[in-house]
Amino acid sequence: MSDLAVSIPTEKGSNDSRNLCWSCRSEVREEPLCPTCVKLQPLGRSSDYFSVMGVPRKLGLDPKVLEPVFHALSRRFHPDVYRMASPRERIIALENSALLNQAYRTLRDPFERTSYLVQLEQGRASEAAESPPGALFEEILEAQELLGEYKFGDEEEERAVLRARIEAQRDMFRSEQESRARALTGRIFPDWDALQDQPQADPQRRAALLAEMSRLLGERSYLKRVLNSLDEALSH
Amino acid sequence: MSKIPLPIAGAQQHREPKIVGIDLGTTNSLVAYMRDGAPRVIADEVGDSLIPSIVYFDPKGDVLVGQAAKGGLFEHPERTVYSVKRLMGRGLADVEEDRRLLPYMLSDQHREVVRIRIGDRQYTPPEISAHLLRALKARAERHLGEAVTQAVITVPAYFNDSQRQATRDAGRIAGLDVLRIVNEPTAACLAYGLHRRREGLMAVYDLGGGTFDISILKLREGIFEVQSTHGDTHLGGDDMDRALGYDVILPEIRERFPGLSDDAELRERVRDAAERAKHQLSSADEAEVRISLPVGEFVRTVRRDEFERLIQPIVERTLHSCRQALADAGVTPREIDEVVLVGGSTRVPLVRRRVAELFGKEPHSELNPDEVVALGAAVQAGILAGDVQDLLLLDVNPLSLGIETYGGAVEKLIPRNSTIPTSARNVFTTAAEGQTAIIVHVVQGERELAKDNRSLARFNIHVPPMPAGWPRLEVTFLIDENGILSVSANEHRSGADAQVEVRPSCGLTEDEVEQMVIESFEHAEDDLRIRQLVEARVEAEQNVLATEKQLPLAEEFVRSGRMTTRELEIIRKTMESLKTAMASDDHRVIRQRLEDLDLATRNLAALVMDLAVSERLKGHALDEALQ
Repeated sequence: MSDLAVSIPTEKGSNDSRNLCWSCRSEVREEPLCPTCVKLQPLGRSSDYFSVMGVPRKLGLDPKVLEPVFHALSRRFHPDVYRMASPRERIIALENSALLNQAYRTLRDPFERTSYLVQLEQGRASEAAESPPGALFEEILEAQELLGEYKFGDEEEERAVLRARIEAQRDMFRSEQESRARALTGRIFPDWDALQDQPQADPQRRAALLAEMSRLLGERSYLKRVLNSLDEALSH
Repeated sequence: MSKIPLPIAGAQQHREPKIVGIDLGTTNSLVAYMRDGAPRVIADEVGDSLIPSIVYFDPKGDVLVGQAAKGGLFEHPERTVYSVKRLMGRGLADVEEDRRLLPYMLSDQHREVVRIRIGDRQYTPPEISAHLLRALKARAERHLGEAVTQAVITVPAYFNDSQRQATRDAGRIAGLDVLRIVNEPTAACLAYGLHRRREGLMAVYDLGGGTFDISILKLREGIFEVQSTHGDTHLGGDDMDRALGYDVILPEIRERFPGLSDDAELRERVRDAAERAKHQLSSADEAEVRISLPVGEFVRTVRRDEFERLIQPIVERTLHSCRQALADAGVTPREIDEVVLVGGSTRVPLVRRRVAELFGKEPHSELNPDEVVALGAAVQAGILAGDVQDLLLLDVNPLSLGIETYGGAVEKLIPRNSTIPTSARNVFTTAAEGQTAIIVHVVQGERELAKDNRSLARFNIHVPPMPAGWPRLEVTFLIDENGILSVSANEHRSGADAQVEVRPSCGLTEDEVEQMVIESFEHAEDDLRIRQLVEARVEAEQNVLATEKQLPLAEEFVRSGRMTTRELEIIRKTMESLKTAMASDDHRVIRQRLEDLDLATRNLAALVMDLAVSERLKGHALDEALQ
């Protein structure tokens, strides 16, 4: 099995501008159809998801706004609509649809959206790593210990006591996780969006916000994993 | 009495060939098409729309399909293939359980793709399915009066990539260009959506003969967006029959008649009796099971509550899937606006009751649950043909797609319930100096370890020799609108498209399919002959029945002097010789006798018609007098 593929992270961002229609060679800009020959144009493999969906690079996106955009673009690109078209156009329709679907899946979820934005803005290759929240270090260690005792404990009474303690910890971690979610959507989202509206954004402020997003996301996914393992142990 | 539809002047000129919609079911299959903006299933001469998914291979090498093959179930169970859908896209290891229960044999030599052994020949499941598809194609061609070469075929939503590929291969072998593979619950939703024109959240509960699916869809301004889907490709009405037949009735028979040989025929009769009891229990509180055996008769009453206890675990498994699908869609059961039942097994009262309880509302079943999937397939065919303009289906992939990494773990590339088409890109490099190929092992499923998931294929991607870690191979995984995966690769250091070789884990290679297509042409002549024979027999049977029904009237005409005794004698004689001719293997002989009977009964038919008209006139006169 030494031939098994070794995976390396891919880079996001880097805008690929297209300018000539593949069919009639006339100039095209952002339009999905060539203004001259009305042939479907590729969205460009590395267009970012915000531009695919035609929305600003903001975090406070309303799902009620995204859905109709998604539906309208689906009608434009879906391969079912291009069954009678040329093979080249059918491939473009397939690829455009695939890109659109990925864009919508990412942007409609607030955390996926933030994670994507951080990668895009920082030109980084992978999503923010899970990181244990420093302030909760002791509690996390304790939870691991409790779980071990609970898993291998065999006295009913002792297990019941442990169970109650694990449940209390689970509730605490859950509220910690929720507080990070709230910090993102309630504080960081409006701050970032306000920054986008400024004609000359302060680069330091921008970097600080992105770093904060990265930290909150990393802590949130770490807590999510801890919660999953607690839930799993309790369900047995 | 010509039955060939005549072309309508003018209407033929620029017409696109019809695309049909096909429901290729575990137990029954159907074909439908769009007419005047509404989907319709195509029935046979006696009004039956279902073709039993049964293929019988007689020792001479002839193949019978559907109703005509049903007799084989009891007489030659080892030569009669049913429930082949359960074997589609599967390896021998996947079907161990089915294998014990199926009366026909599977070959031990082929582990990757199951092969069914009939006499000294072997058939893959796509080849068997192709026989069913040919019968459906023939039915459609007869009805439409034109060649049918394009189809939309439905599959269970929870079918994996191999099972979808196998379905498409079956189409190719049958001479059908499969334009689209559509998920069955989604198809059903399309049929309902067109029928009711409602918006909101819809749950489609689809329990067929051998598969179960649940799909949650959002309907909004003509867009049918699947939110989530879940299911089990090995769960259905067949399992109910087995629970009653093999776990209860068969042991009782053995106890009552010790020493009775336990062969394929006995098992098949027990299964069939259990199935009939199940059907009865859908409307009655108890059913009688009666099986005559060489050593005596087995009789037993099955009460509905007893049957419900037996099938309880099966129904619970479907509800577990429903809860999972709801969770994946992020909705509660109460938020679902409408629940739709699809598949023959939803006629079982326990199923309806438990589904109603889970969602807190009565499920719909206005459209025939046996036909609704085929109707939906026809709607999708209409969308592709451009006949249905405003509807668009956005479906999802049912299972996560990932690749095996070092240590046998899975790196997820595309999560389950992602809207398709979709794609993922990954960059790979080499681990050894001068390595010229890398293997990407693609798996489908939700488990953490590659070995616990379904292996789809190993893609062998060629790279120019370079130092270890130097190549940058960008691999794109694309799932198309049919839920079928393709892989392409590009080497960034050299800028070249890399060659990708596919080794499917559980499917046929391109060459194998090609070979089967060629073989099917070779057999096409045989197939045509058999089809013509079966059709002639069916028509003969109907004509005999119809004539027999008119005989009392004919005798009346003789008594009243409107017909001669000699004429009646001729009718009787030609009918008898037609009956004898029905046993012939040559359709032309049957056709000849059919024409004889047609000629002999012409006067009778005219007299019957006159009588009907005068009766009708009398009726009218009476009506007028009453007014």
